[in-house]
Amino acid sequence: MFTPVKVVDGENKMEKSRSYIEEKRILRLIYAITLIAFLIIALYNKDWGAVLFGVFLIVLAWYSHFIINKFFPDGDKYLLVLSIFLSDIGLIMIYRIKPILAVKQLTWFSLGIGIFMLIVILLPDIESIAKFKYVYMAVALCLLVLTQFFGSDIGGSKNWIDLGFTSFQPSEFAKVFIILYLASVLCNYNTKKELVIPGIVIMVSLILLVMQKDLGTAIIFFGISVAMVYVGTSDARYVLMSMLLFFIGGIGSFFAFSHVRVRVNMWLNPWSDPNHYGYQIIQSLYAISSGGFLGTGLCLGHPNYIPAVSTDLIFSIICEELGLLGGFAIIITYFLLIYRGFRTAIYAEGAFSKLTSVGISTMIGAQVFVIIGGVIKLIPLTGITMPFISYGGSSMIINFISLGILQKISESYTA
Amino acid sequence: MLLALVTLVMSGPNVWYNIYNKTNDQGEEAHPHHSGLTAWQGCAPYIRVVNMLYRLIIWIMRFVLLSMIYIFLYKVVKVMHSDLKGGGKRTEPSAGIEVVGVNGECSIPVGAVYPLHPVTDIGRAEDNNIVLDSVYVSGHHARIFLKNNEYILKDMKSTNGTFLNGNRMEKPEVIKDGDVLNIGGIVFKVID
Repeated sequence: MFTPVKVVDGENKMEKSRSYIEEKRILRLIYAITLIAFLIIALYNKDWGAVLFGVFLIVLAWYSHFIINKFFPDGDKYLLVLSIFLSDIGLIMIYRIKPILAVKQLTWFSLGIGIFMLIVILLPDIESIAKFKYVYMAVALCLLVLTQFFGSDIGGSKNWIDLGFTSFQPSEFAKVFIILYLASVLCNYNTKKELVIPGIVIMVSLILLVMQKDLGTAIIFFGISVAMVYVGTSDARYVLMSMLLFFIGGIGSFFAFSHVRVRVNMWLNPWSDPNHYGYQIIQSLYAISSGGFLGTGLCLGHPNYIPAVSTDLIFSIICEELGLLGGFAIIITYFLLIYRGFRTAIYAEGAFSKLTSVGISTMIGAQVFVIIGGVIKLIPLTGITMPFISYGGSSMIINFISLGILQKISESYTA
Repeated sequence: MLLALVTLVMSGPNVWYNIYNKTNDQGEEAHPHHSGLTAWQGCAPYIRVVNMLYRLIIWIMRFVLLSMIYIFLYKVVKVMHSDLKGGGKRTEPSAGIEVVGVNGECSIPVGAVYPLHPVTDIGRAEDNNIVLDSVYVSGHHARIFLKNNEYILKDMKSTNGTFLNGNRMEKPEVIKDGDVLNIGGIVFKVID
C-alpha cells in the first residue's frame, strides 16, 4: 500500500530539483553579467566602488529570488528573473552614465523589490478586490486631475507633483488604477450599455493627459483600454471604433495643441530644428548609428551628447555601447516578460485576474513600444520611461507593483 | 551600507582622476571616462604594456558580456519552450490520505492510502480522483488542492458537509499531517 506513494515521492523530488536547478543556472548567468559589466566600469574608471555596487545588486537579486522560491514557489518565477535582468542592465547603464544617480536608482530598485514582496505576501485573493470599481475610478481620475492644479513642469510636460523632498509622476500610478478599474467593470460584462461609463472615463483621462502634454502616457492609456475592452468583450468592432476615434482625436489634437504639432513635425523632419526641438532625436539616432552591430563597448560611448540619457533615451546609449545586438537582447527580454504576463492571463481562472494581467502586460508592452519606437524614429518621440531600465522612482515602483499583482495572479491557478 | 556605497562611489573617481591628471603631459582636459586609459601615454614603457594588457582584458570582457547576455536569453527561451511543450508541470510535495474508519455501507477497505495530486477531487461521481460509493457522499463532495506547498481542503457545497477535525467546514482550510477529515461518514487521516 505504501510503495506507490513512495515512487511518486521520488519522481516529484526529481521534477522539483530540475526546474530549480535550471532557475539557479539562469540566475547565475545574471550574476555573471552584472559582475562583468561592473568590472569593466571599474577597470575603466579605476572606481572599485562599482564592483561593490555590482555585488550588492547580486545579493539583492539572490535574496529576492530566495524568498519567492521558499515561500511562494507556485508563482511564475520568471517574471521576477526577467525583471531583475532588465533592472540590472538599467543600473549598469545608469552607473556608467552617472554613479550618484545609480545609487539613488538602487534605492528605488530595493524599494520596488520590497513592495513586490509585500504585495505578494499581503494582497488578498485577487478576485476579492474586484468589487471596488468606483474607488479605482476615483483614484485614477483624482491623480490625473491633481497634476492639472498642482503639477510642476519637468522636462517639457506638466505631469510631476513636487512634494518638496521628492517629486513623483501621478500619471504612472493612474495607469495601474485604470487597469484595475477596467478589469472590475469588464469582468462581468453583459450589455453594451455597461461600456458607456468606462468609455467616458478613458476619454476624460486621455484629454487630461494630452492637456498635460503627457502624450506618451496617453498612447499607453489608449493601448491598455483597447486591449482590455477587446479581451473583455471579444468584439473586434470596438477595436475598429476606438482606432477611428484615435485617428480623429489625433488629427484634432494635432491642429489644436502646438506641442503635439511640434512632436509630429520633429518626427517627420528632425533637421528642420536640429538645435532645439529636433536635438533629442538627432542625438539619439547618431548614438545608435555610432554603436553599429557590436557596439563601441561599455564605457566607450558618448552619453554626454545625448539629452535625458538616463531616463527617456537610455535605449540609445544601450544601442551605442552594447550595439544592435545588445538592443535586440533588451527587446527580446521585454518580449519574454510580456509573454509571461499573457501566459498568466491564459492560465488565470477568474475574469478579473485575466483582465488585470492582460492590462498589465499591455501596459509594459505599450510602454516599450512607445519609447523604443520614439528613440529609433519609428513613431513621434514622447517622453516616457522604459520599464525597469530607465532612471525614475515612480516608474520603478509602479512597475514592481504591477509585477507583484501579476505574480499574485500567477500563483492562484488552482484555487 | 548605502552610506558606505555613496562615499566609495564619490571618492573613487576623484582620487584616481587626480593621479591621472598629474601624469598627463598633453595638457588637455581629459574626459572623465577616458582619462583612465589615454592619460598613460606619456609614461614609462612598462606602464604602456600594462595599459595594453588592460585594453586587451576589457576588449575581451566586452564580448564575453554580450555573449553571456545571449546565453542567458537562450536558456530562458529554452525553459519557456519546454514549458509550452510540457504544459507547465508544477512542483508537488507528496502526501496522501489514509482511510481510518468507515461508517455505513461502503466497499472501501480501512487502511487504503490515496496519494494526493495537485488537484484531487473527492466524491461519488465517476470523474473524481477518489470515488467513494457511499450514499452519504455527494457527487462532487470536496477538493484538495495544492497552493504554495500546502494542501488546502475545500468543501464543494456537499449535502452532508466536510468535517475537518470534527468541525464542519465553511471556507477552504489548510490541512496538515495528522488532520482527520470526515467526508460523508468516511474518515481519512492525512499522511505527509
